[in-house]
Amino acid sequence: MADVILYFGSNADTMIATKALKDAGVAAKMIPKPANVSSPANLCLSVDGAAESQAVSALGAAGVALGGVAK
Amino acid sequence: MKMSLRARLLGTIVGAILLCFVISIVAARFTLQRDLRSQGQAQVTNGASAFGGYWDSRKDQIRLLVAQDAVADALRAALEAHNAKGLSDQLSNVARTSGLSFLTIVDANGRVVARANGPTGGSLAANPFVKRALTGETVSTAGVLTPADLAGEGLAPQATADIKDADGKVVSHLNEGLALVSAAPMSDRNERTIGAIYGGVLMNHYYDIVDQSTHALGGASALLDGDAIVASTILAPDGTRIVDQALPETAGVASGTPFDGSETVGGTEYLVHVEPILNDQNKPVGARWYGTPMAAINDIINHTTESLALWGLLAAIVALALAVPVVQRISNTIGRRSKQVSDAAKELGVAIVGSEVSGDHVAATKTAVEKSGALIDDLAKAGDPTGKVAQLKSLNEELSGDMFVIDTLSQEMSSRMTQAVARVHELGDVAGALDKLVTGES
Repeated sequence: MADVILYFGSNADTMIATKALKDAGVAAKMIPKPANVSSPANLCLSVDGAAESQAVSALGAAGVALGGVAK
Repeated sequence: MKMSLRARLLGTIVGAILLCFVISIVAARFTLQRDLRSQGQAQVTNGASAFGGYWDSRKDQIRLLVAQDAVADALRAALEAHNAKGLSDQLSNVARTSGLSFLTIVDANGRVVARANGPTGGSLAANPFVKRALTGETVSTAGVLTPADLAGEGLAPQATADIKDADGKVVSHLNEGLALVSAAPMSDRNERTIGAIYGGVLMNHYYDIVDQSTHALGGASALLDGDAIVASTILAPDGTRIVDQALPETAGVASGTPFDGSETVGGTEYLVHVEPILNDQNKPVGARWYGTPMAAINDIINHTTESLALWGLLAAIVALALAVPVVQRISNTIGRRSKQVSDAAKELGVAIVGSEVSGDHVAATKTAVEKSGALIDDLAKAGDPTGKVAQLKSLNEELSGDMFVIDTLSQEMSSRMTQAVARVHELGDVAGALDKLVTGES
């Protein structure tokens, strides 16, 4: 399944989200923000499309504000 | 002056204890002085009233003696018979056994028939007490005997004295006498007044009453004629009685106003009450002085103050013994925390330096990866028959992306570290201030 891009309000949030997903057992890779994503942060996270809902749940449980999901 | 937190805390505690201690002692001393003096004054006033009781009792005793003599058959018979020699002998016996200073019988015209002592003859017709007695009145009063009265009764030597001040300098001469006198009419069998009997006790240098009062009441007693002591139990430093001395502080009593207060006599300060002696016409003729040494009050005040000081000192030592370990513990705790903060600040400083150096290294690596990408592009332009250049380019692009992420993270951390630097400086300042507070040294 194709990867999805999770983006956030700041690079700090992206860092915190990386840690939260790691703790939740969701594999995520920090990548430069793609040109088609509009976000103040210039980093975002790439996760497998199959783990999207698990990732969003983990971020919600950790209290990390998700800026959006790009596919 | 630099002082450590320990010194300041202990200094503050010691200062507070000492201040409390001093204020307590001053307040206690002030209160004791006021209350004890008030109580002492009440006691002295009561003592003075009792002294007055002895005085009145003696006056009544004299009145009774004279009145009894006035109706004694032997005396009346001798008077009727004008037996001067027999009367004189009887009067001498009565006066001696009754403790009277003088006892005189006059006829109906006031001429002296006989005296207990002193020369016979003369007239007491002008004597106010005798005059009243001859009208049928029994007189009993305190009074002042004039020099002529005293001379007639042979009492002038007992009363005459030079009055000195506290320094021993003669300030006046006394030739009158303070006395308790009584006079009563004498009648024949038909109750016609045939004369009068007149007697009393001269108080000058007469110590029975003052001794009796002091023995029963304590303190010291004195009788004053004007402002001169004529009899007293006040002792001089050498143990002798103080008499024939002026007390200028109590001169106002001669006008009839009682005096309450302190007075120094014979080098001793007394708390005194001075009461005017009034005659039966309510005119002041002398004064009764009663006092207790202020030393009795001052001893209590000093003893109480010393006790308070001693117990206060003990309390201060106990308080300090309790406070010192507490202050020591607080100082040690703050000192330990201060050192922890200081050490943490130093470690953070190392982390900041490491972050800065690491950031520089990341930036250099990113630049190298970018240069590598440019070289791969140049190689691709020259042709890629094996497709290896394309693979290398893809790998380099992936590396470039990772480097971007690492560089961004590095910059983010650097920004955070910059903020941490400010906090570390603040923590360093706090640690320094704590250290200065605890040790007193910068």
